[in-house]
Amino acid sequence: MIIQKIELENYGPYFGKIALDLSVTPQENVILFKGLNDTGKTSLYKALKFCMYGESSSLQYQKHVNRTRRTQSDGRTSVTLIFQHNNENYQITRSIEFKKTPLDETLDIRRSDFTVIRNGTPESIQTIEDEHRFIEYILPEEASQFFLFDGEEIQGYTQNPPHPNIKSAIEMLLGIKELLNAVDDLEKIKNIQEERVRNELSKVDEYKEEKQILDDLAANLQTRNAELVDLGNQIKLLSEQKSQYENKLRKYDEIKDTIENKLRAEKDLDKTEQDISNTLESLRNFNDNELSIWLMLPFLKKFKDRIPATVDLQVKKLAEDILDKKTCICGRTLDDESHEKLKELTVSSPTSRFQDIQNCAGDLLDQYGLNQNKEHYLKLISSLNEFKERKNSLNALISDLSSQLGTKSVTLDNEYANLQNDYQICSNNLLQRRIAFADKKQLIEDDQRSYDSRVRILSNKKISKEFERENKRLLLIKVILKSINEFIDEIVASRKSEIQNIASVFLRGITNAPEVYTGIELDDEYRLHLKIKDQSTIPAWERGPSAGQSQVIAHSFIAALNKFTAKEAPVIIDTPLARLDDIHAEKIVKSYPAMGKQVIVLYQPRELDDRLIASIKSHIRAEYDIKRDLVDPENSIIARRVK
Amino acid sequence: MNQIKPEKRLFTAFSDFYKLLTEGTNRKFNGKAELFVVGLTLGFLHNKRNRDEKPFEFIRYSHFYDSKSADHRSIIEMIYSTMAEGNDDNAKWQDVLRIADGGIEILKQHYDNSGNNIDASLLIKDAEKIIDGRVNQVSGV
Repeated sequence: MIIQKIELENYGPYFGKIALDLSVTPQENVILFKGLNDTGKTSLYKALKFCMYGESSSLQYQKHVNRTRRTQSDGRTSVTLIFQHNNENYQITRSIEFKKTPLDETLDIRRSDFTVIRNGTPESIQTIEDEHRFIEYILPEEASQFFLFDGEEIQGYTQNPPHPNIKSAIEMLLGIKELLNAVDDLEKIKNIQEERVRNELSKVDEYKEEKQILDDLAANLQTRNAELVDLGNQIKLLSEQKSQYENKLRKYDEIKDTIENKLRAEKDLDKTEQDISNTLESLRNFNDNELSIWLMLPFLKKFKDRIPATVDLQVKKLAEDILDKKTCICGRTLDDESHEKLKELTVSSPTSRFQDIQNCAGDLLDQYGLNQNKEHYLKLISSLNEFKERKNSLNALISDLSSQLGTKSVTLDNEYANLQNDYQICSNNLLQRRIAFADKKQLIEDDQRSYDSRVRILSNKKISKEFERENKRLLLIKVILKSINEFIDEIVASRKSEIQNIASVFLRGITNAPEVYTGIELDDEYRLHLKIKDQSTIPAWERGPSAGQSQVIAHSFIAALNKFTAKEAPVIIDTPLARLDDIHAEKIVKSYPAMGKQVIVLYQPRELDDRLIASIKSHIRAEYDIKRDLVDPENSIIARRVK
Repeated sequence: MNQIKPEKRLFTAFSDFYKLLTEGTNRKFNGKAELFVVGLTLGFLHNKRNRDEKPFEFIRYSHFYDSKSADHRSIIEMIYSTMAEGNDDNAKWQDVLRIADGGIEILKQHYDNSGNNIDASLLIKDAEKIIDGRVNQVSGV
């Protein structure tokens, strides 16, 4: 399906008729729609889904009708898609005819219609089943989630175990669904043929009893097969339940981890506070015992260096000599002031004064090294600062963890115990069903073996030509069935492997962490598993990647599916870059041209700037701007930008 | 040594500041006697006296007779003999108390300027700036 044109008539915020050319070429396959929030981007995306899949109830139709138009007069809302599919041209239209209705009343819908024109000729779509059959052929609604998607929502593929319908949707995309349906049909034909073979037996008297035995075995097989299907469904349901419990338990485990982290942080905080207290005590001891010494040491050292211990004695002796002679050594007679000063030197005993300083210096300088003291003090201060910083960060961590926990920790134990209990019950039930399933399967295989062996014995007998003919047909059906099953296994293995390869290449090209996420793998249920650098794989939903990383992983998976799908369809992305950072955004935008034959992107101005758009310029076929209508702000208008 | 008699008493005019620095969880010293020595050292180095009345007695000098306080006693005795002025022991001791409170004034200013903290490295840095002049002053050069 490659869309060439979409025509809207009174749809959503678009008043009157609008036709948009969406045709692309192999080189220019990207179409951009730019619009602010609430201008009508998503309405375009919804218009397409509305045209393809309609609504489940007529009440739902009114949300598609233009609000201005419905209040003016009776009218019509329609969406027409003109597209090519499998080399044929289609025009499909879904329309609603309505009566004029005020906005505060439920819309009065008179008629809704779905028409198909194939290669210029109207197709007969009489019933809802016809419509479904046609849409299934073009793009089944289940599968549309991989083509028409919201960039923000696709990360759900990686964050939780995906919904079971994903498997079915993927099988559809890969063309396996049709083969599986064929197998179902052939199984039914085989059962009918077996009945025919048995009926031929009843026509021969001596085999009537054998026919009865085979009928009983067949009835048994039918009942047991039905029971097996029932058990299978129960197992599927219980597996889903178990998986949900596991998810919830995992969340509880995360809470438990948070509680443990908080307790650890609180313990660290206690220790850090003790460290702070010890360091403060050490600093106090330092202030008590060493601070005065440390303050005094530089003075003492300098004094000792400058005034040798012997100088004061010499000074005293010299002063006494001068006083005795009353004449200075230069020959000058002493004046009164000089006489007093010299006398003071001899009387105030400078010898003892300096000697006390020298003694003190001797005591302290021998014991303490200046730098040693300084280093000790600085080490204490630096430790104190480190402890204080640690205390602050621990307090912040505890506060953060506390707000994460809220009141959860209070009720955790009880809730966790109940959940564990429910999980255990579910696990036990699942185990019992699996055992019952295996037993039943064994019984069926025994019955089948017994049935086949009886039929084989009968085949070697000449019962009747009719019996021989019907039996040959039965054998043929069995051979075909076996071959198809083998073919499906092969095709699944090969397609899965190719999808994994393409998705992995895509992922490595657009992820910011190629050193962590090296690839994508799919399990039997087509659930995503991440390949980590060390080659181990883990379920993507267990890894719990960031929102941006989830989007990147889901994007890679979808890109690979679209590249490989048996269903060709446009890729239409609403809110494409939602939570992505600049680097991821750039890589994803550059990957758009490779995502499909036709890629339509509905974006907000802040999501794609001119630089990003320029990076895929050569692939852009058309750019449209969606804006509010200035005349009637209830409505929007779309204008194509001139290239 | 032993110039100062053990019965001499230590007084201060800054009893509140002494309490602030030696009591409670935010205390910076464990003992008032030790704080006294820091004050006296600062007063000596900065050649500063505080002549306010000193009504608050907190300990006897005999506290420094303990062998653990030998270094402190050496500093006190050195300052007593080098800087303290007075005609007799009592007068000289009173001057020692003035010098100690002079240093406490400096410490108080430092404490206020450092956000209610004692930063030893800053105190010593400030003291180092005036050491040259002080050595000259003391030695009478």
